[in-house]
Amino acid sequence: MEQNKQDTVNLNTLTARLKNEDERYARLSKNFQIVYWVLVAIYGLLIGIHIYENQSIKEIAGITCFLLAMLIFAIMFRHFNKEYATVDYSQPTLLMLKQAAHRYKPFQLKTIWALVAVLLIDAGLSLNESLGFDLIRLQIVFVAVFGIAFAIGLVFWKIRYKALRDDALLLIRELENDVVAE
Amino acid sequence: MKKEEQFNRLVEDNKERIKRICSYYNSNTYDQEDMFQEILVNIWKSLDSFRGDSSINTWIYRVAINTSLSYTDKAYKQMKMIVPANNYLLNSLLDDESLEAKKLQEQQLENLQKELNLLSVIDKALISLLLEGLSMNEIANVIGITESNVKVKIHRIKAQLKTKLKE
Repeated sequence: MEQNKQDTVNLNTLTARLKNEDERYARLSKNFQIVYWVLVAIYGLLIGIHIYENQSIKEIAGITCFLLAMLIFAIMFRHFNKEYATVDYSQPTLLMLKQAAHRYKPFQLKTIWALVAVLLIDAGLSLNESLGFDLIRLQIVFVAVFGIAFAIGLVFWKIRYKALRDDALLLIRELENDVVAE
Repeated sequence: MKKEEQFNRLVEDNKERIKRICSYYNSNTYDQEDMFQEILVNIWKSLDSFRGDSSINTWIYRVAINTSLSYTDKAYKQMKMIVPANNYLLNSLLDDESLEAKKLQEQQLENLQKELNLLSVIDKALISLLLEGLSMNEIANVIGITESNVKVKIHRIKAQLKTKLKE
């Protein structure tokens, strides 16, 4: 009886904690999305103002690049959020392992979209004459910053995710051994 | 039904089953409790996707086994498999109905325990489901491989265990 009471108390505490975490995560994720969509709206507004003020086509193209980059980031964040926030443990083990191996791949198709967004930011900075950046210096700084960010990302992946992916691949190989033709 | 209610009911109905799965993987009570808690967390996370396509038993076992694999990411190489001293279960693994002498059974159980701990993490998962009394078809549904493949794997594990125990 006492044990049952204890279990119920623990279960209630756990349920409350899980519910709070769900709500906190949903709120955080919503806030992030709001930030991206607000930036998209701001850049959209800026484009309108620049067109209204007959600004140069290069300036307008520059801001459009920023807008497109923010749009890609907003869509990517939404996709990323869906994929990572809802790891479904109720799937068949083999499927769950295959999805984990895919999730922890260092380079995926969506990496290209991130690269496109980064290049759009570069194009935006280069086209925006009002910022007054020297084009050559800007490219050097941009490539250096991008290179460092890429290297940090790769090291982070190697420390945090490589082992998980290797384990998942090992288990997949083991499960797919002894395959019998149906 | 609200998610909380569904979760509480599911856990209440399957608590013993989940605890048993945890006991296969951990000899230590604290580790069993940790794993139990982790399985509950994952049941909560996966509850939204429960559509009733598979039986609730299969669903629970999937979450439990998948959690044990993820949980043991941390240290699955050190993971031990604990089998309760139960003659019926022992016989179900060895397919040997003639084990009568208690002493021999105890010795075999001890040896079996040692050999089970040497199995790979996947083989341990398969054996834990077999010990739970799941059919080959149900194990196939939990793991996501074909029934024939499950049979081949279980047959290989049993043969391996028998060979080792005869040595």
